Amino acid sequence: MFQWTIVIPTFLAATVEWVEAFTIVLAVSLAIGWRSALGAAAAALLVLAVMTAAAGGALSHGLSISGLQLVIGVFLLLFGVRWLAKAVARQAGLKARHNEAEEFDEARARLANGDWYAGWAIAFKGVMLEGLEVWLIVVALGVHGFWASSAGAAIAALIVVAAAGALVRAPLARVPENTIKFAVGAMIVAFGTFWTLEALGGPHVWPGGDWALPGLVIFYAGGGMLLAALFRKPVAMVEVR
Amino acid sequence: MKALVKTLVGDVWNVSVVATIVLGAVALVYSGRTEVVAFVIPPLTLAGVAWLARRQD
Repeated sequence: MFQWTIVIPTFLAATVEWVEAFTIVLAVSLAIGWRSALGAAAAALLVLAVMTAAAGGALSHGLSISGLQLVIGVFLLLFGVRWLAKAVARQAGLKARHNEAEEFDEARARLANGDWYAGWAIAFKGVMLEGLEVWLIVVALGVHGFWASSAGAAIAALIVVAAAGALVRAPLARVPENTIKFAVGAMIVAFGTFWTLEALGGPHVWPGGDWALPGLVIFYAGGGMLLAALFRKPVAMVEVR
Repeated sequence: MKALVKTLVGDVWNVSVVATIVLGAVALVYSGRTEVVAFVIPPLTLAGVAWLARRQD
């Protein structure tokens, strides 16, 4: 049965990462052809699938439940804190928003000489690095027996992005990446905090038990929005005569 | 390799923030203050997010 508290953050996070991977594959395909670029992407996805299966088996059998919760909780904090901080900075105007069209142009420029091996390697590395973030979330959220929910959500996101990309055949610049990263960052930090403290102090550390989790999501999302408003750079006033 | 490590754990500042959060939680739990840990660590985490966001400037 699908667990929606796992499916939603995994699907949203995976969508953002697959869009970035798709942009790189699209740029590479223009230099070395669709077949080769998709071959590189498929090879990277295969490696990620093997890693997911291997990590799932190892994590499920090698550690006690609280040890597992601590490892996963710390990994989620490492990941979520970074995403939320970047989303706050972008929302506040401290950091430029991610631009898929720019990334697309950069990848094309790197491939201007038409080197097949370089193109294949860029597509493989791009999908691998973006996919590693998806892998982390799939493993971290799926480890408590929710593999179908986390892996299924990541695969669904891949299908949606691939289908949208095939239809548009352009960088998917309209995906509201920062909004998604804000929401997912808050969810991932909430899971990370919840599991880390539960692993260290036991289930009684959270007043309200599992109900503390939605409270944490609201706290981090609200806190992040407040920080973005506090840090917002004033827009330069232009005098109009 | 550098890109791989950065993808998995982030930069040194990100690791420092998370290490501070985890050490803070460990200190509170092992000093027997488990009743306050749920009220201290989330604001500490948000403070870490704020510090990292300012560093993106």
